[in-house]
Amino acid sequence: MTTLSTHAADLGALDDIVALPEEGVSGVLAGRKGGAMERERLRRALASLGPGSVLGVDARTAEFMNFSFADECFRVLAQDLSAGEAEDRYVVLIVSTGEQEDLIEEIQVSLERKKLAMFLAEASYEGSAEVRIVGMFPDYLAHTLASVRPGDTNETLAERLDLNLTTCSNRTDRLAKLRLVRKRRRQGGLGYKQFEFFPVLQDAEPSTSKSE
Amino acid sequence: MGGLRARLSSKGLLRDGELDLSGVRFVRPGGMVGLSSLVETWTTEDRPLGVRLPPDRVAGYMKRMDVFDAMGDKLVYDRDVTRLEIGARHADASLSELRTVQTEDQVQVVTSEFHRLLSKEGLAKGEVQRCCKVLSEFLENAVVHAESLCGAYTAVQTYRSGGKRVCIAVSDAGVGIPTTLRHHPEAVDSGIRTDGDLIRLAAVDGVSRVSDDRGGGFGSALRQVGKGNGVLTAWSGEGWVRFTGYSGARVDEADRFRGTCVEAEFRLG
Repeated sequence: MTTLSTHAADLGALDDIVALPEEGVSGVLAGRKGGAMERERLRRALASLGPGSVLGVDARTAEFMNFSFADECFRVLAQDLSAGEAEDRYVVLIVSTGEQEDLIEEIQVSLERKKLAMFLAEASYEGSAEVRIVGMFPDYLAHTLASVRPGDTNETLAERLDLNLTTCSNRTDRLAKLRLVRKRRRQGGLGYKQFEFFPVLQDAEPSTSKSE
Repeated sequence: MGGLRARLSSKGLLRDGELDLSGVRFVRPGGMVGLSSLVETWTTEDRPLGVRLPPDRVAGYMKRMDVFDAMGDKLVYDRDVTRLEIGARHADASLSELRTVQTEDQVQVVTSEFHRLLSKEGLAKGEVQRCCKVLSEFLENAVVHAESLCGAYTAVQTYRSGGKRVCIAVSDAGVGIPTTLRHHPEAVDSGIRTDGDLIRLAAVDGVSRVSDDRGGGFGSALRQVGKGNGVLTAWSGEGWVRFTGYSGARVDEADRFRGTCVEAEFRLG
């Protein structure tokens, strides 16, 4: 699990937050059928938001989650997003600080086995959270993610990270596919396309990273 | 479960077309759910199986565990089970009765119930999570993959034996793990043929009869066994595999079990 050393992210800045499980539903989340149903609910919530939006998935009331549920809900969702579904929309999973490691473990394993990753915000109190990445997230990607500043192009980022352009492009492409950075296309000065990158969680302002 | 295996092996379990439990002195969840699955495969709708019951103390315990209710009229007993005194709890045991689970929705319900039950037992949060992960993954496997007409049987028990322990058992009367994986590419490519090795293959991440995107439930249960320094035993077909967190898997042969029977045991803090 990779922790981004950040300022506390402001959960109030998220465009919408849905509870997992829904209010009034058991906090014991087991099985692929339940996972698929919740995934569809999250998918609908994402589709209802406009481009550029960030959806918080608040799992702080979940008491239990098994692997099958996590795999069907979060791994499949992350896989679909990575394949281009719900374009320019982002997801942050919200858990309670230090209290839901058993739940995070199952999401971590389910994402890791398919080389996927997601934002995970550990909320100590309402409105503020430390952001981590759950899933497979190698150090070089964490370093790149932490270095992205609003409006960066591959050229500016490559220069800042002292990378060759192809390496940097591969990394930002991977981060964008994982929905961990925003990627916007613009027309370059000489008329050809150029991409700009922006952090998803503006308030997090990632600066450094460490791996556990 | 070991006792059931031994009785099956000695040919003492089925005698003259009767289920002979007269020598049984102790019942554990694994044996109880395994026996229930075997009864499912030995009986047909119109031919109930005769049973020689164990001594009243044990039969009373089985009554407490709802074994006779679960079996319904599949069995005909040599004594009137309605007159049995409900047995006392053994060794400070607290328990959950034998349950049948047939749908994925019921897996969710039973997992929730066990979560509540074990939480009330005063188990640490991590221990409750561990037990429920093992239980829910094997129940789901039984309901989704086993093609078991009776669904799955499950029982959970905490008891004292050299410290407090918890035992979780799940069994079905389906096609069995070896049958579901015998033609899996991983088995074919690796030359895995024995039932025991096919059971071990089922625990490998990503190995599933359905697709490469599935699988992982057995592996998740095994991770919990490792974390809890527990033991997990799986019996299916002619394979008997004992998994521990510290010494890996030990594969043995056993008499054929039609379906899959799994028992996990952890020490409790």
